[in-house]
Amino acid sequence: MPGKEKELASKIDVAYVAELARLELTPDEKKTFQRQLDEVVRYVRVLEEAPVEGLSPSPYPGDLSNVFREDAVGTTDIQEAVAANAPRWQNSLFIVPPIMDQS
Amino acid sequence: MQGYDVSIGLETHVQLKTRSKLFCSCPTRFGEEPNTNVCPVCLGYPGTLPVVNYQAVRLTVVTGLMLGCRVNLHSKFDRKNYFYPDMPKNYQISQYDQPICTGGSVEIEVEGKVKRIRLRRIHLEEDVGKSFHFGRSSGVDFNRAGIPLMEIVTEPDISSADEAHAYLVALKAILEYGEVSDCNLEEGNVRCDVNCSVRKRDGSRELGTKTEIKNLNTFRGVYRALKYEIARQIRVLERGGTIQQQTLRWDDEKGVTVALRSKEYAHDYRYFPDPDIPPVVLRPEEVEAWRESLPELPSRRKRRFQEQYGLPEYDAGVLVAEREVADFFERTVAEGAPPKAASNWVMTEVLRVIGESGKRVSDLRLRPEALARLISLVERGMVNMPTAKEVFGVMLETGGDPERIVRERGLAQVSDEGELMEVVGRVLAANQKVVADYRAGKKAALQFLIGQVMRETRGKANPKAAARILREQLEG
Amino acid sequence: MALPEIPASLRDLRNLLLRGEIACRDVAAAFLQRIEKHNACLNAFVHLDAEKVMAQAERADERLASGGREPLLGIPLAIKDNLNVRGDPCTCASRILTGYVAPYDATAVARLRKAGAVFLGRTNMDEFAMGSSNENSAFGPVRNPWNTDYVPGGSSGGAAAAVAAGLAPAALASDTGGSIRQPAAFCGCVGLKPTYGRVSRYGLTAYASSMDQVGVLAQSVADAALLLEVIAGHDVMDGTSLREEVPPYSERLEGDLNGVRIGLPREYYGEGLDKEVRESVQGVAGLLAREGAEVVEVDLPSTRYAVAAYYIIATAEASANLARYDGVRYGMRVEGADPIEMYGRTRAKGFGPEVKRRIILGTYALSSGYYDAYYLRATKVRTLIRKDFEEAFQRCEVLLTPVSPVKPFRLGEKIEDPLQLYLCDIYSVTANLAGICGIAVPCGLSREGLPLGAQFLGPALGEERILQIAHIYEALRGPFGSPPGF
Repeated sequence: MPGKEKELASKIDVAYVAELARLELTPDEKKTFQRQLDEVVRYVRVLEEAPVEGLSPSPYPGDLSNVFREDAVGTTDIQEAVAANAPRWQNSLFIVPPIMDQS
Repeated sequence: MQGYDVSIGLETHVQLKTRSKLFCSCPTRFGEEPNTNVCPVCLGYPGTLPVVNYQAVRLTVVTGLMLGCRVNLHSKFDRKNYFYPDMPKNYQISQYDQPICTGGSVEIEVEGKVKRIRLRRIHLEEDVGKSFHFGRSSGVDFNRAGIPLMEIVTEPDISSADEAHAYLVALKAILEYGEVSDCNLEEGNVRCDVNCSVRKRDGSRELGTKTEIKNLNTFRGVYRALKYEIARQIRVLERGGTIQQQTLRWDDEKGVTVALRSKEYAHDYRYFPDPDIPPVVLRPEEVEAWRESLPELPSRRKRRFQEQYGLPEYDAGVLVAEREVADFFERTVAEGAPPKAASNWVMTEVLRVIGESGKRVSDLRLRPEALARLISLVERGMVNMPTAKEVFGVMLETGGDPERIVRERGLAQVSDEGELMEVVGRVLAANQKVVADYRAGKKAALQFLIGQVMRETRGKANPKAAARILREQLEG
Repeated sequence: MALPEIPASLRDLRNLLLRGEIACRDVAAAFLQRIEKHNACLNAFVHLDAEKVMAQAERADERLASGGREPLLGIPLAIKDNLNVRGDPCTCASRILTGYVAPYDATAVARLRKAGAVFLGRTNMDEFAMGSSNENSAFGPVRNPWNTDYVPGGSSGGAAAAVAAGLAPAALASDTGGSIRQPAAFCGCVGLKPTYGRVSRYGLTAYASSMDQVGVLAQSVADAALLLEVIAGHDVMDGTSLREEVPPYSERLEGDLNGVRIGLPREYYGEGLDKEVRESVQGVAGLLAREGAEVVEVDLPSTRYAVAAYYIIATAEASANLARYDGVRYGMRVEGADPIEMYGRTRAKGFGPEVKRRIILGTYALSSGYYDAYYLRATKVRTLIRKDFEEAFQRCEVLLTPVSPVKPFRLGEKIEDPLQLYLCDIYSVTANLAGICGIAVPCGLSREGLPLGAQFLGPALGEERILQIAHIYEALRGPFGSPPGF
């Protein structure tokens, strides 16, 4: 939750954000999304007009608190389903392309 | 290192002692077949939700209380967003701006100097999976994913590799005392990220550039990595170079730090409150109850051992380093053993066995009551020391009672005057030449003769009594 | 084989089943036959295994024969494709979940299963519940049974079309910003969004966790009440589910309107509201007033920020919720040289354009430097909106509003303009932001012959009251009728 409030850019950096979100976009998508989302971002600036000074945020819609579970072990028997759902599975491991930065 | 100030900060991830994971009921057992301790929740399957393990919250608060932290009655969980194959949801549930504990400190002692390492915070988060690398692909095991970790973050108060090591040893002792973690390093229960910077001591107030060494899983690794990294940074600065802010990895075999491939962009974790998890609100009474049930901490116990049992500082320090060992010692004393004798036995024999076997005290078949009885046998002169050590060996094997072992194996010490007299007579008759040497002034020959008496009695003779009778016979 | 006529209400159907006048397998077969006949045109179902349906119906018949009296025994229900049903695909109408088979039941599904329901099949939707026209589906758009050139609304468009066209007596669905109520209004059926936490979200594939809520689409308010009774209640698997007792909603529907205060929020009848929609909802108010209700005007002044707040909060949460679709553990994968490339390609191919747009917007709203201005501010606006409702519910018991400012529109009409479509969610997103309950009921037909809907909003845990008032209205209104040809 980076602290300082930046001057609100009227443009969204679609390429940067898409990379953060791990979405490869085609040049066409980039162009279209840029146009559509710039419009949306301009619209949501209506939030700046809302009288929210001194209000606490509501990340949740209600006032729940303290929902815990006991430290008890349950049975898990979904091994077969887990293996069947995996796009690549070998020797009980999920196989992925080589992770480079672990060398 | 002369002429440089070193600033080190540690982020220590400690696995909490829970039966089940932080957000689901999968077991936390170590060493199972990959991807068996998993369920839809910890695999991040669509539609699943986390529910917080109360025990994990309690253990984190207990740690905070032991370390003198401020316990925040209101805390919450946040999502830390980044993609990585060992992350089931590609966000980690952690705590960002409202951790469970803030502040606190750990006291360390290096070369006789006591120092407080201040803590910044302690928060609760879930572990990720483990990846294996096969060259052309990698494999991921999610057994660890969702295991509760408490992250203990220090201020950059540590100024040497030795202090970092001392901090970890002291922290481990406290965590074991509080029974909040097994601190089993082999099982990866304690892992560290280390921040380190050096600065020339020339009056400039500018801080040095930090490097971060990730994922060190032994205390020795932390020590060696820091030794290396501090020296490396100083070398770079001495040559007029600059330190690059980077993330490093410690290559234990080569004994060097290695830069991790830098990402194309800075990390932007996009923390925000996890809407699936309601805030954690602790009642003051709840926290007070936990405070009241805190165990005595090692530093305090050490002082008490010195005062109550009259132990030397060294002994007290060795005994309290591990809670189980200190408990074992105290129970042995409670069973009637003299404190110094008990301390000697625990420090030499018990710790030797633990060191050699790698077992925990609680895994030994030897019970404190039995050790106390063995010590009593020695004190009463029923067995001599070599025999006692032999009996100790049998007790470790069988868990048996010392008196019974002595009786069954005929190991009781012979102090009986008549019996010893007879043996001495036989030994003197069979060693006429040695007797003559002794009488001719070669007093050292006595030791040989005592040895012969011991041999005849298969070690059971009370050596003091045997020496006295021999001397009487030789000189009388 | 001639199949029996199926009665319109679940209660009547249940009575026929209990009396043995009709068998569960005949009921199931009748619905399968209707689906067979109409689905090619409506595209309401995306997955259906007829054998599995019949096997469930056979088991229900056996249960009945051996004295089983579970409340939904033998009653077929459709399930929106974002709720996990053990052994079934659950694609959320996304390519990215191709091949995924759910290993567990969502809690609401498990409760329906335990109550004896027969699961008919999975209904089409906007991908990951993102949309209000059902045009954002990897399986193609759903068509409105009243006129197949028109959209059914969304995101639960398949469920609404299926229920309206009689392909299923009712459906289990989800509502994050109107996804049950708006398609109910567009298709002419009843759509109930319960209070946040009233029904467990466990097993509902998350879109926006702080607003997602499981609910039902049904042919009548009474049917919706009966289903809510079964699925509502605390669940240990969902930390946000509410602990309050579940009242027997279906037994508390009768009552009268004397002294009941119904609020009309001024902001919901202002600029941008379609004239026909306005008139038909005002008609509802008039009818209720004639029966003794007191109609008062109230204010919800923060309504003008609601769409912005909703789209920031929902997309921020979605950007994290949808990060798990990465090709590692389930679903689709496009290989790459390293994980980063695999992620980028898998997600590029797996997600449709609306999902991508929302992920980008949500990622942006949380990213370094923008968090305070967007996400944090939006959650403060949410506090305002909650306060608005708290104050309004001091003055009235329920609110009566339009569901959508627009009438059902044609396929393709708004697809190129996301913002215009977002703005149409104005009257429905507020309930999700505040976590309160709402129900949509049909209240008229547009000039083009398409349904129009009215919405009753109640305070948190006010389901009993909104169901009662909607039920009274329904009786006053009389039968709404079926789409021509169904």
